[in-house]
Amino acid sequence: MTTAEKHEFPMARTCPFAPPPAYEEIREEEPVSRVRLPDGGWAWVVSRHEDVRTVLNDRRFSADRQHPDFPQLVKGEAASRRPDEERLLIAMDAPEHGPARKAVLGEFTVRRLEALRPRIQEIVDGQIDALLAGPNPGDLVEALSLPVPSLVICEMLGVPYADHEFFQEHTVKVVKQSTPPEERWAAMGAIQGYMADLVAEKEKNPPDDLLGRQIVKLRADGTYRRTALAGMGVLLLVAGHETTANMISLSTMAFLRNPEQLAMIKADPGNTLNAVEEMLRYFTIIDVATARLCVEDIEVGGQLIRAGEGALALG
Amino acid sequence: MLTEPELFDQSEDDATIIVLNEKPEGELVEKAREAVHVCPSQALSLEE
Repeated sequence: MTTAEKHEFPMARTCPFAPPPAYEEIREEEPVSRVRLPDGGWAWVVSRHEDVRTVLNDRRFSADRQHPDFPQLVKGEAASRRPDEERLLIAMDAPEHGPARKAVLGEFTVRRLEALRPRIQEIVDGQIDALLAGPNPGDLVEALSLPVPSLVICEMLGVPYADHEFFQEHTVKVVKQSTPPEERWAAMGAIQGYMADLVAEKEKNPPDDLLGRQIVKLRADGTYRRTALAGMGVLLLVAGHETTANMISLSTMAFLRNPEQLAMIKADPGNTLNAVEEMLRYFTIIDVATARLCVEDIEVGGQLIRAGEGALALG
Repeated sequence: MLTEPELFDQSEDDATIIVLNEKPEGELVEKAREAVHVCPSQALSLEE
């Protein structure tokens, strides 16, 4: 059975705070359905929770973005493929993925993040002070949501203070929807170049920050490569920036719209952790969790997906 | 680890969770139950 593509991907949101309404239609009527991609190809979009788990966990689906058949969500994305030795963590499958993931996981332990907490507080307080001192009304996204994750990532990676402004200016350009595509690519290029220089500088005398510790660790394992680590730095930045920024904006809006919830947090700040967990669940900050390439025939939600076909897992 | 430092630790090396007390008693049982419930990777289980 082959069905025609009823939908084009990516789909537009009608409400900025909710996933595109067509997702619901797909989930109700044809939970695994074909969609047309911007480059003229097509892929299966997978919309139910259980099916999404299968696509993300089953080894018959590959994360190999370098593969020519891998579904491309952005036109021209294929042209930006990286050489094999610079393969990013998100493009790896087992058995390569496990050790690469393990190498950086130690940087995100509860203990390490607790140690970072006072510095994060300082960054947040500083941005809020600036927002309050600035023009009224202020722009929450510009003043708080975008700079906070960028500055925290600076802190983690060990970006020198003098470069924070450069770093922030370019990261904001990359994530802002209104940035024209050429400017976005230029900003991305500037960040990649900066990261490569930063890693090269830290090689001389590796400091006690994420990049420095990775240099020491990977050298000891005999797997250190400058371009790969610079790629990891950019990946951590991209993965952590827009997602966190959007969560800050959406959560603030949710509290303003639901003052009784805000009152609960104010009365007992101990509720904050629960509220954060709940908002992460409630807001879909990414439309598409990720894409995969099927490498061996598999049935998902009653639909046969063949080797060589792409799948998009909805968020 | 986040819910109960008496029950869990976390490896500095690869961030995996280390169970410190496999047979929690008293009020730690409730903490263990909560940890099983909230564990993001659903890697914990409790036999009663």
